[in-house]
Amino acid sequence: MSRMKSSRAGHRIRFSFHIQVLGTLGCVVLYRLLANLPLPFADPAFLSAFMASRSFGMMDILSGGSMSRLSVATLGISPYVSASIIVQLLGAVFPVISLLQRSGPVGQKKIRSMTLGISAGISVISGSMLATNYRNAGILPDSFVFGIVIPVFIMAACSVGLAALGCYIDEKLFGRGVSILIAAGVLSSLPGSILSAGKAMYNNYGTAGTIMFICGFLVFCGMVFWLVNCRLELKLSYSGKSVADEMNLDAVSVLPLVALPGGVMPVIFASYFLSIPSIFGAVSDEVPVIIRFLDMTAWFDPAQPLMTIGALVYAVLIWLFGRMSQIMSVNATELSESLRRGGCTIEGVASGPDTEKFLAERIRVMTDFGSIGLCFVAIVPTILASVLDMPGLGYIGTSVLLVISVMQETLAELHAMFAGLAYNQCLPAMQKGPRAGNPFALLEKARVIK
Amino acid sequence: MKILKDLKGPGLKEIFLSGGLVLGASVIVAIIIAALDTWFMSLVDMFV
Repeated sequence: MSRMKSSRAGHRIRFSFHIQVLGTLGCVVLYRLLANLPLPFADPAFLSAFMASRSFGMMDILSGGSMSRLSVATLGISPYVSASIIVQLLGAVFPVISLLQRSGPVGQKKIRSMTLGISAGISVISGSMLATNYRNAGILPDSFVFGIVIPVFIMAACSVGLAALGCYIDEKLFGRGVSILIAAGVLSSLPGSILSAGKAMYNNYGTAGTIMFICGFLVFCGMVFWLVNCRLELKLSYSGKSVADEMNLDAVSVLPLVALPGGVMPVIFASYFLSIPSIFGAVSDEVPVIIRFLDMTAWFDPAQPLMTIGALVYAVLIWLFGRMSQIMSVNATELSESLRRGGCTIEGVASGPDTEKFLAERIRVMTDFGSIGLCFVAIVPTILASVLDMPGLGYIGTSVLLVISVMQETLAELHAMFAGLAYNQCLPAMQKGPRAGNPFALLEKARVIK
Repeated sequence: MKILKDLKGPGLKEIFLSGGLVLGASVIVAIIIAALDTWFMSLVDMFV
């Protein structure tokens, strides 16, 4: 009878798992549909002429090509990302927000609502700027209602809707919603960028150039993969008799400190600053000089060396956001306290303030190392783009980093869910076995079945 | 620098296998997204 109940529970879990994965895929499909749906009242003849004269760069890549198509999802999730940066910065200034950020699911829910509210405001402002310019260019009708009010409402509603969709995936479905939607957008334009770069290499340097490009690209992907996965493993020792000892298992406990505690969020945040010239490019014919240096295609150009300051600003932004995400996600004091409560210490380090100091130093060094790695991955392609005179190559670094990181995270989560399913499947068999009730034995069996 | 001496990352084999899996999955997703985009664009052309 109990086996039957467990089997039913297993089916329920499997069903719920499938629903979650399908739900996330459905959200991605919906996002792509919105990214291809043109903005109502836009004149296609004027639009193609207007789009041909402008380069939308990073903004277009992050919005999944919506900006160059002037779709209803033109703003993409960028207002939500900007709002997240604002809320994180507010958290550093106002203790109330900082407390909410650290107070579990309830606090996170409030933070999410606050971020969505701020993103709605940002969407309306950026949507109004875009709509005004498109109306002046003759793409949208002259009427205030049909040329401004309705397009702004649609663009803002779509942007907030996409952000809410990302939050819904985070909460109820499978994967990190906002990252998945951004990666899906980037993936829609990345193959085109890689193909055109390969084609340009072939035209300039022949077959040898193409082979070098393919090898270089694969090595670059390997480096990104290494960076995303590298960690510092601190060996832990238990003061008392541990559960593993009781089970006679040779368990070696380590505390891993990753180089990228905030994943690729620092790069996503910094990239949105790089998209500012695109927004100005879209709303006016003349991009201000102060903003122009943020245009990635102008960096490392010998004809205009001052523009390279933009690369420096990008590197500083990645480092700053890296530090910010580290502060948000890892806390040396809390970590040392939980180690002390768990009755374990780091090998060769005394418990208490010594552990805290030891951890704080290592977390800081690892975060700085991760930030330097991110800067390298994001900036080296822009140097190559300038040397080889292939402007499109500059965006590939950031795009590859985003895609590999999100894909790896998603596959890891999928793997963990499959492991959970396998554990659930072996549960009925375990219940009548000699080692019933032993969680380690169940996990062993789960591994064998998998 | 002394701290970074203990840094551990995936080995060459893991980079080839797991990195290849990630890259392969990305290529598959990119193809699916490209197909979806083409289909949606043709749908939009048909109806709009």
